[in-house]
Amino acid sequence: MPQYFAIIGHKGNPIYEAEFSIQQGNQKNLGFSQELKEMNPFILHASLDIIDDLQWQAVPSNSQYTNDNSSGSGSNFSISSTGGFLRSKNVNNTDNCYLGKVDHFYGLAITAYISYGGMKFVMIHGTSTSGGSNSTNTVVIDDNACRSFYQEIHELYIKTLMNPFYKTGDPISSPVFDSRVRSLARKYLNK
Amino acid sequence: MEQQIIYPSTSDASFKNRSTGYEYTMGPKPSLPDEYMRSPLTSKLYSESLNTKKHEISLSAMTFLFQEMISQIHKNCQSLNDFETKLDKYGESIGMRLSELLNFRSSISPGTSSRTSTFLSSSPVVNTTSTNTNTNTNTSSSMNSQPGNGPNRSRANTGTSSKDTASSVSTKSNRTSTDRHIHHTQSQQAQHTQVESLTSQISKMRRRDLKIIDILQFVHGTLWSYLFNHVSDDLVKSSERNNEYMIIDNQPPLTQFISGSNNRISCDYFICGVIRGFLTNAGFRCKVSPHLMPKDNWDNRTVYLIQFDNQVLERETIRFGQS
Repeated sequence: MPQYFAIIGHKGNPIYEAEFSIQQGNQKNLGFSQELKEMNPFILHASLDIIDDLQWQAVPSNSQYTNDNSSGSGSNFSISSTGGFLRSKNVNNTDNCYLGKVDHFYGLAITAYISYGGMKFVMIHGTSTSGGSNSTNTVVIDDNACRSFYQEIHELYIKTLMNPFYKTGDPISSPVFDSRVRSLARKYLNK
Repeated sequence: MEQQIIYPSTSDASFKNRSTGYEYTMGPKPSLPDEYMRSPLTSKLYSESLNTKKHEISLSAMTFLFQEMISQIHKNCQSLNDFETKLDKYGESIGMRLSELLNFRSSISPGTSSRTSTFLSSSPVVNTTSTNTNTNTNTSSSMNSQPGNGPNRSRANTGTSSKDTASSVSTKSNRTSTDRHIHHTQSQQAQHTQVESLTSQISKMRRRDLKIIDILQFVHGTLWSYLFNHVSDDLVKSSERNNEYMIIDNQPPLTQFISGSNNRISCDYFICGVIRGFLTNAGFRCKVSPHLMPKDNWDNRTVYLIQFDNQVLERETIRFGQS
């Protein structure tokens, strides 16, 4: 299943983006469809409001909201004061870096992670059958693998930050960073 | 004519034709079909461990550097305000890096650090530094202790964060000295690929600090320990204004050789910048200013006054009831 991953800076600017489409065997074309490719940044940025809200919650808790309609940002778009909605259930409550699933959009799941410096790591998980027809089955997210993936990225990000020539908020253009992220994606997200 | 932009990280010849990094004008790159066949690229920066290494900088070296910084700024500044802002900026870039680094290090569960010893330094010198036994001493255990540690601070570990990445740890100390050099450089490439990340040692990430008092405790304890090897001497909340907090250092190590009690220039703005960068990056916008307040035997006793923005207080009131 394909993923779209981005690191969002303090001003809502992407400092790194990548698309992962893992090929298994001789299956072809497992990536996002073309129109979805173009939509991905919008979908991702639409979830930033929810992440902003969760960022300062004492317990970014998994609420009991079970939103069955997968119509994404529906009409009753209200964020409860006790916790975000649509969160995945088995997120460890005491961990407020990894937020788990924060949003969804037509069957695509969106997970997020916030670093100590307020950088937002966000990822859209697509379905493997994201061809022409919009599949209605929502993506199941393996929280443990996802959390490990984000933590590894976090570590890589800090290493980038240790470069005295790198300014916070600049795009990360290092090919090493890119290739490391991709190999991590293969390791943790290849399902 | 096309102009070639030089990126320090990409100008390395070994990356040519292999991969290009993220280019924000192009958007995300899709995965390439043959990608999984390639091994990930390596570089020194990304192969180093983020774990704590005990590297203390001698105070004289640090003061020498600091002195150069100050005279450099002094030459270029227009006014007193300009001088302070520039010095503050220097500190800020360190502070914001530390807010990520120190929190991440605190997440590493103690007692597991010995596994990082697979790292090889790429310098040919095989130093016999002992393995990274648990050096994560800066965690909250030392947070509440308030020792009156006095004038015997001879060393300042004032960490310009880049120093950490440049330091190296090697465990292969038993090599024979002959042609060690060649062996080392050959094996280096292979070793780099199997670098173990610290994430495997983290069972639970440290919580992000959401309250003012929590993050100030972290500054008072962990940040101060990292910079100066001791916790700060006091952390006080102002009784008059509720957005003001004070961190007190009886004897600032960095500026202890700068004389002039009637001097209007304060070089403590550097540390102020570190504090400000740390707090601002973590989402607590504030202003920090130093104030010289001699008391008892401490002639250089400095109070770092932290004034948080209103938005921080408002957020705290909304989220946590009372500020």
